[in-house]
Amino acid sequence: MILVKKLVYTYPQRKEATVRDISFEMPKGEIFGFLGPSGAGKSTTQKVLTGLLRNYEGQVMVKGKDLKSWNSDYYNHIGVGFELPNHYLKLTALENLQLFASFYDKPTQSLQTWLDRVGLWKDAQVRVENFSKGMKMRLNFIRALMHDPDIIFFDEPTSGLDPVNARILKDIILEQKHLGKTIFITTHNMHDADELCDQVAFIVDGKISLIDAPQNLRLQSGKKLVKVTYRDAQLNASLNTREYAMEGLGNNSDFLELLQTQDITSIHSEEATLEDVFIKTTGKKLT
Amino acid sequence: MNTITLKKIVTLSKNDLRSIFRDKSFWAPMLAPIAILLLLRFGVPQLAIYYPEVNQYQGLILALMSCINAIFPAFFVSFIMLEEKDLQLFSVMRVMPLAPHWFIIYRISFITLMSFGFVFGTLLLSGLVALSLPKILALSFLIALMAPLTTLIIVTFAKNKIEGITMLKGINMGLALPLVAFLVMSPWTKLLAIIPVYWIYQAFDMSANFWLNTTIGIAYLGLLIAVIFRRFKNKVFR
Repeated sequence: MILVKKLVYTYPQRKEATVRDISFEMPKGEIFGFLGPSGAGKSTTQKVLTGLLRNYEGQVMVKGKDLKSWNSDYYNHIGVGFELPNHYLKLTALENLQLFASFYDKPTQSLQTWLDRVGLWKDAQVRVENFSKGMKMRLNFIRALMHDPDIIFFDEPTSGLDPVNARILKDIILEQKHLGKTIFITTHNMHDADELCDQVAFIVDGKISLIDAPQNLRLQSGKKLVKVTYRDAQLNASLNTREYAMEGLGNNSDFLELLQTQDITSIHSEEATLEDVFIKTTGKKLT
Repeated sequence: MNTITLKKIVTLSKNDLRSIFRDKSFWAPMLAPIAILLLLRFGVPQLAIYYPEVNQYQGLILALMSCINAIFPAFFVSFIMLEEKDLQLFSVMRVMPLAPHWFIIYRISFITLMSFGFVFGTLLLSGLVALSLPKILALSFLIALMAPLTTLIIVTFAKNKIEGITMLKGINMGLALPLVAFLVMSPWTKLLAIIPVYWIYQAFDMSANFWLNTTIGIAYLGLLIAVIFRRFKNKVFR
């Protein structure tokens, strides 16, 4: 769906490139996560892909067509969710959506349904100047989806949201994926990336250092161990921990005996978190 | 113009008017053009009774007040656009399926039309200078061009609303500057021709060539608008 080859982008009046020779491919119907610390080049890459930044070097193909040869019709096919909420403050939530909906060539999906899904229908007639940041972010989210685009770009989609609303938005993103939409997410939230993305790319200082499925990355970098925590009846029910190798675990007599004789409180496999993998690969922390 | 384009223009205009009317800080300035018109219609003739010399300057008074009235729409729209700039709404417009620069051209047209209405009303109803309808229409267009020029200057160069207000005050004060050319007899006053409003005053000079001055004024203001538009497009709406 999207193919990027040797993309380089340098902002005007800057000597050094912000995005340096990156290449990746986003297959149709997948969620692709672009992960990296602030200033790594995530948003710049997204701005190139959404046509907000031109004069880039390299090649970007979208739906089999060079990005440079798309005209404004491109925006009938893509949806863009910005990192910061941007709406007309004096207009109501519904008026804002109706305004942007009027620009599309085909009718948008039911705005009432969308507002209802993200919990904003009761506030549809409220001016956006009275909205909290989280409410504005949810409105941003609808604007990116309301015209049923094939490709959706989100920049930190759960930023500023409480856990309940973040869950609602993440469920909608997964639902869109199951509808065959191709989704590009830039984030520094590893939990979101791990949960949502089919593939993630780590970007630091404008370069991609690794691309793979989050599960593969976690398994490759983790220890093949199981950590068992239990209450030891002989030591005043104090908590103890033991580690066992995954290999041959089913025949490990010590492990089996522990399960049968002790009060087990938790069993965890010791695969790495995505954040661990990121730090190990790039030597940088996500901020 | 097809139905879809017309629908987009109607929706945008409707929302621009909503944004203007819902902003309490615009309520007083909205009444100012009416106050100016009443002043011209009833105040200036009264003043002329006590100070008959006012009569010879009625054209210039009308020109200055028409320019001030033309600037009011620029004030409203500049502030909407400064908010758009601040909230990065221009980026949102750029990811909409609109032809390149369609939005800016719409805004310039919207403000010019609004300003044209204000000036046309002022020239037609002030009762100060007898002008034919073609001349009123030509002058209204010339003066209305001050609005997009002012808006583009403010939105391109002001970083925020405070700077916007300061610039607007500066522009308003500058409106009266070329009047010096009518009060001081010196060849140096020709230098004032670089100030766009100079050509508006020249068009009101009944002893000069109306159509020539109006055409030069429209061409000069149009050129300035084109130059600032280009800068706005490259520096702000990108």
